[in-house]
Amino acid sequence: MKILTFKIYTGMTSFILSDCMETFREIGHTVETLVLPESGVVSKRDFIQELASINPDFLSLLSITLGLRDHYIRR
Amino acid sequence: MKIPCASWLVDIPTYWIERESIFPYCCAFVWDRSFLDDLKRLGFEHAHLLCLCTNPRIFREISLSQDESTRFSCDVSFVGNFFYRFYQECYLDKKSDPRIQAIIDEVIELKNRDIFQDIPDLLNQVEQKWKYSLIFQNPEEKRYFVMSLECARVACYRKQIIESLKGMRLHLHICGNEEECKMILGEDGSFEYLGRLNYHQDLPKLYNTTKVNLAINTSQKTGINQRVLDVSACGSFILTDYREDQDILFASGEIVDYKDADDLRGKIEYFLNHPEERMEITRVIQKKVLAEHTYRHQMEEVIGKMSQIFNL
Repeated sequence: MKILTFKIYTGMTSFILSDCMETFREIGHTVETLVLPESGVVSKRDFIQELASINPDFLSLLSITLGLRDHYIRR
Repeated sequence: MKIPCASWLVDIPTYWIERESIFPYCCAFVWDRSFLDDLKRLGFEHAHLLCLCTNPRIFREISLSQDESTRFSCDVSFVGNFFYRFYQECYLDKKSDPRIQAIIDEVIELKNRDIFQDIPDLLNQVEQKWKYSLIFQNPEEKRYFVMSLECARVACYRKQIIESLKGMRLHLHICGNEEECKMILGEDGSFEYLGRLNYHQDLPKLYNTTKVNLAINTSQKTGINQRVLDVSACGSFILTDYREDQDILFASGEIVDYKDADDLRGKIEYFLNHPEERMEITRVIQKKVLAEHTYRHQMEEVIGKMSQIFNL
């Protein structure tokens, strides 16, 4: 499967995220990482274009990234 | 967009997820069973338990150089934060108003007595008792206050547990934000502060050379601490405060836990003096962690659940 994740967080969560991604790859899946800018400003159009070009089977998020739509796109 | 989304909520989800943030095609995974009901209440159709796990390529038995061994070896170590900023905002800055301070103190005390109580409920209860209501400009401000209160509670609890070890003549390492640790615990020489350690690079070294690794849980009600798994994967001894899930993930009594500060002191003394028993317990837990609680197990679980729910 093709899994898309977003790298936006530092600290303990970033280690958990990297361990998850490494493991997905290890068990045979493809992992794409979308690095969001620290400013958190991403236009909805850019975001949708990115998603369409990657066309993942599912998104994999950790904690705070669940609020992605609110935190990052709406700004 | 109808792209399914798997979100592993490794913090306290109720503090920052709002009903409006929830979107269709999302499956939430939580590390603590108590959050499942909260998420269902918020409107998640799919919410599952996914306990924390360890990376055995990082957390493993390792040999250390002489210098590393000198730096990390100790009787007891504690790794964690004291959330000083929140503690300060919530706990210290309000001392000028004795009523607010009394309410805060009581909520913290009640929560530390019963972790299953929720801070907002306790706050209401204590406000009613004192016939005084805290005023918030908006729901966001109240949510931040509740979160700060939880952090202040953890700071008080961790301080109480660590300070109870003073006088035991232990070589005790404290790792975390050094400035924050010193502000909370003081600098009387009872503890050696190692500063903030890198999770992947340094912690395996510390865990490998600590005789008794201490876990002091924060906000989890049932879930087990990341440290329990990482330390055990290193083949080292962990002593933790009790959480229900340890009886589900491990055989009852397999994990050595403490009920309170007195119990902790007694068990530290006992296990420092019984290294063979310590090693025997450690071997059993290490075997189980490596067989059942690694990222591989949990990520396969995620893939399985996502495939099943969304027909991938």
